[in-house]
Amino acid sequence: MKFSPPSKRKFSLLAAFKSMGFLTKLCFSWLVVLVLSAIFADLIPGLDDPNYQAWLFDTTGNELRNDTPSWNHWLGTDVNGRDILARLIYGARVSLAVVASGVTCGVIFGGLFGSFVGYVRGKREAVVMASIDVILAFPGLVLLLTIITFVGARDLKVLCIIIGALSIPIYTRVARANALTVSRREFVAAAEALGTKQRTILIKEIVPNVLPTVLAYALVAAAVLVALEGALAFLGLSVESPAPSWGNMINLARADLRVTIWPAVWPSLALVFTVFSLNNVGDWIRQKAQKRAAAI
Amino acid sequence: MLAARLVRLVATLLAVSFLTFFLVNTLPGDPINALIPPDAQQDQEFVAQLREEYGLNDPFFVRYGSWLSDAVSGDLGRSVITDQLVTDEIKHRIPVTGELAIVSIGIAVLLAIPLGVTAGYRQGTKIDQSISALAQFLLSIPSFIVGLVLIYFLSIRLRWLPATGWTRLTESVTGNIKTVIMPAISLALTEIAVYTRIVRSDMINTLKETYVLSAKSKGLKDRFILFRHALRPSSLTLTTIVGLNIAGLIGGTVVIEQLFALPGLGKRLLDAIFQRDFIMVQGVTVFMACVYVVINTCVDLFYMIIDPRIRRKS
Amino acid sequence: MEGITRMSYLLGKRGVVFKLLAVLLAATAVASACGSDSSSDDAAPAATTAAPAEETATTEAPETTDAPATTATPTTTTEAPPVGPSQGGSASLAIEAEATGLRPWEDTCSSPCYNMMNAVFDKLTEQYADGSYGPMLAKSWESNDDYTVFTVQLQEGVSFTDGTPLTAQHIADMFVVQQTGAASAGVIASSNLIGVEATGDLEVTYTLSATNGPFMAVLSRAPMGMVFNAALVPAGDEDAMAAAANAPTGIGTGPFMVTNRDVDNRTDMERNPNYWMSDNFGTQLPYLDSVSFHPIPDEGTRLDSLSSGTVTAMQTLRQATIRDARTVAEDGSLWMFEFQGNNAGGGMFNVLVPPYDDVRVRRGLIMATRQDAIIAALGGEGISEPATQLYAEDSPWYSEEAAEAYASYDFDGAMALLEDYINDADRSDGKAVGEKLDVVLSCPPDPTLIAAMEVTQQFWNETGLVNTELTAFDQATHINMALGMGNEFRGEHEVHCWRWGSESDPGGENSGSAPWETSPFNFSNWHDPEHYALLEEARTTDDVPTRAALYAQASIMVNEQVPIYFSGGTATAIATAAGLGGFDSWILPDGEIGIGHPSAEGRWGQAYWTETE
Repeated sequence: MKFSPPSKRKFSLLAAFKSMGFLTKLCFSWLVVLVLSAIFADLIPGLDDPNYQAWLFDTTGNELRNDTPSWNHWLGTDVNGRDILARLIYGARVSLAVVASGVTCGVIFGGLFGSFVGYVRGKREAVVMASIDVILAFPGLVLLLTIITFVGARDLKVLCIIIGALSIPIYTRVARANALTVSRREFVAAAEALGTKQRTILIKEIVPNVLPTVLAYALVAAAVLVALEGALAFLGLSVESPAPSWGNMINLARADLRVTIWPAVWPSLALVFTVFSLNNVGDWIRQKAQKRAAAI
Repeated sequence: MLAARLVRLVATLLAVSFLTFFLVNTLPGDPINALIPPDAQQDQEFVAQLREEYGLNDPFFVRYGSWLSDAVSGDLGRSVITDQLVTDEIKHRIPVTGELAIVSIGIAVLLAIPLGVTAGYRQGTKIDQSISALAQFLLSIPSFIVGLVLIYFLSIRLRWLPATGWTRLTESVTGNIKTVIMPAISLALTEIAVYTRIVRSDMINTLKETYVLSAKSKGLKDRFILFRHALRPSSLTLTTIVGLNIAGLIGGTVVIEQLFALPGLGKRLLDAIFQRDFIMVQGVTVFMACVYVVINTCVDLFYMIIDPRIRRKS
Repeated sequence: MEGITRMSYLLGKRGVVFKLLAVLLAATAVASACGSDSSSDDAAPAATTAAPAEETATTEAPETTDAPATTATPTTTTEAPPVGPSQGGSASLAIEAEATGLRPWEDTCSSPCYNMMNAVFDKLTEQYADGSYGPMLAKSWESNDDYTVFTVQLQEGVSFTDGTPLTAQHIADMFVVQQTGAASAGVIASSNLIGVEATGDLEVTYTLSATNGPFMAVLSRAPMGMVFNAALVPAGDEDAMAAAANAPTGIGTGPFMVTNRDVDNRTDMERNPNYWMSDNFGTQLPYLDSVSFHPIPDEGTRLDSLSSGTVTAMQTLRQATIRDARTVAEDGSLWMFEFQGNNAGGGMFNVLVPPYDDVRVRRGLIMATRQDAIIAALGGEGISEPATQLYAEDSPWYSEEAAEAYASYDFDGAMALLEDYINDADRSDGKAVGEKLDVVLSCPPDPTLIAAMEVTQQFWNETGLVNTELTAFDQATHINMALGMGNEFRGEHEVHCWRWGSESDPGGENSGSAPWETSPFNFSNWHDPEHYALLEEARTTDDVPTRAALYAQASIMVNEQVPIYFSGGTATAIATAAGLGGFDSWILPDGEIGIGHPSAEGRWGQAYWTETE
């Protein structure tokens, strides 16, 4: 008797894209464009230096500040006369870095950890889950604020490390819950009956089957992290200026809301649409994962 | 069973208190160092005296022990900045944050149930898809942006509601309602999305259950079946999430309290963090965490009472 | 050492120590709120808050054309001039931060909480419109020839809000509390005060250890000047101290009594029906029946609260908010009370840290920046004036020569200085010849300050000789860095935003409104004995022209050495719903007009709704 775990099936990105609904296609494309433009921002022809303030040295001076969209500045300029589009694109890097650190730490450490304890059970599970309960008892934002403030440094690296570390417990919990379900499945029982080593089962059977759900969760969690950067900037605790980040852009533009709303609107839209896309694509993956799990 | 749960509660509370104390006391910077005025540092004798007085020379566990025994007897110390008792501050502010959390969740539940039930009942249709998209959209707007938009329309344009501030329930009920609406809505939008999703998926599952099918075969009206038979089991999951959310919101309202200038616990904690008021940070954080743990336990117990199957399973 | 002496006051009381930091942070609240470039007033209890003055005038006087004249009609409104004050009504003021407490001797605060304290407490002296010092609870005073003993006569018929009559003994009892007060102990030390005695029913004698001509100015400032009933705060009673933070009835003699204090939300006050002062027409003060104060840290929502009618007045120390309030006021719905005195934004160099120990670097960096561009980034075009020294142009201490000596924008000159430094084989930062300078600029994280920092960075980087890094920390950290408690007060700052100057007489503590002595509060660490001697000399006389000449010389030295720099005057404003006024027409008991509303500090005891209906 041979059980073939679903993870062995071939995965085609193109087929997956085709099976998406219109909205999800849109969201997925937005995310792809976002990631690519953020990574290759330096290669985009004609994109301004996101930090250069021409108004300080240009004879036209003040007219370059809080400017309306024009051929040179597609989305206009901000309070210091910088190109908003360029800042949006470079700003995406901050959001991506935060997301990447949260997701990477979460999936790798949390995911493995959770799969492990969910599969082996016993005392180890009890201890790990109890400590995670304790950590999760602290409001995340409060913990983050306390650490950022007391540590003092706010460069991107520090922010990423803290967010990465704080992401692990919740991923562990998600992964463990799924590992519990997966380890009750027939193919695991069969492998055990065949005398396969625990470690092999964990790596070959449990982890690949827990992964899709964890990844679906990761996109939802990523959405939370993108929004979190906005909240941190609102409290003045996001990355140091002049590095553009969407939260910083919104926060800076807030002082000028009664003069012009656009420097605040563009980063807000970017933020909202990105969070929306992450949630939407995350939902889509989750549904796929559920359907597949049900089909086994 | 109950006893075991309670033992675990106490153990978790202990661990939470330890972690708080550990965090606040090991973060960079000797607490006393940060709090000594410039002139005093030149006076070594004085520094020593102060360290002695505040017990900072004791080993970590001795300090933790004495702090814990004080905390258990209801003494979380005094703010080093304002002299106020930490417990007084909590008592004074928890009504604000608590009300905010409860009202926002109330709004969310009231809107999420019809949305979720409809979506679940019409699973796969355009209506279901639109509701899901709406939920995702609501989930995507940061609460402070919602707050800013609300202030602009409801306060500045329409002048219906006060832009900022808080009227306590004991002062005026209508005044209280007016001040709670905008911050509560700002917080509720995210919750609506989460609850809608939960109600929807629960609804889909329960609609497949035999007793629902039999009710249907008896010719009962759809709406009756939905709210009488199908919704009841899913209210269990909802209760769990709501319980946890209330606890989570106690610490999650910081941004909104700051924006609307509300005298809540989150704002107090934020100020304390910025002022390095470590006794206040310690006290408020441990309080928040304990609330979370206690509510969590209550939800578990409630679950056990309501649904005996859980008891058997675990 | 002076520091040790000051410490011995503090030793008397447990907890005071902790509170000293509190004092430093007093203004903090949530960083963005408070005057985020941390006025030296907020920051330095001992060295600057005391900062008082002399009978002979400081400046004040509004600087912008929009600033209200001494009539009830603010200039930015188009409303018809009001008929006069009406009796009754209530007002609510949105303030930028909550007060740590309302204990003048303990809680050092800045503009927001002075609005509240002024309503609860009366001071012994007050400043006239011209900045000189006049009577309040002190009816008259005289000193001996060498300014070491001051004999003060108190007003008759004054009582605390619980009916207790005010006597000289109360002032003497206050001194016991003040000696250990976190806000007042430092002032006592730096003003040379060593004893306060009741020498009659209403006669108080102040004894000083050394000459201090401008001593009476100390009694116009909250820590030593505000009169409270010390019986309510017996020594060692922590609960009483905590309760005093909420200003219980009977603690002050002021025009209002606190009826409800809901910290971080609202503080409600009702009129003191037995208040001792009347206006020039014999009407008993205060005019308003009640007033309430609402801390709203967010600049945007504070103005929203006023324009939506949630409150009837707001205060701000931010140029961008003044700009926005002016826009709202265009339809006549708001009145603006603006004030720009000697207070100016700017910053300092930590001269103990290379490369800032070299004057070429300090001068070069400042010459590379255009003050008008920074003001524009702060949202202050047409609101704030550029600043070149600690005194505004209409101040008696202002000096034209000092203004010319300031390191004004000269890009080529800046390049020359900076190139000279980096090509110097002995450059102090130890880098190779020709290598770029590394510079760190730090301000609190208020949006407008960040915009201004970014402008400064662009100017510096444009020279091609400087790598500029920006940092922003909450106000508490910002102040701590400047203090440098961990490194013998050298400070962990490099180029640091700060706010300089005040309306008080520069003589009081020899500070010139910035601390120049060798103390932890000399944040830039720049100390020049020759410069300090000028300040000392100015303290021994009360002749204005002589003192002005000395301060001019001192200002020139500062501007040549550039330990501190300026980025525009601090414009402040109280904006009110049309009809609420009286902030620039309040009077002293002798009927003369007072100083108005510097730093957006209103005198609510004499504010009123105009009789227009």
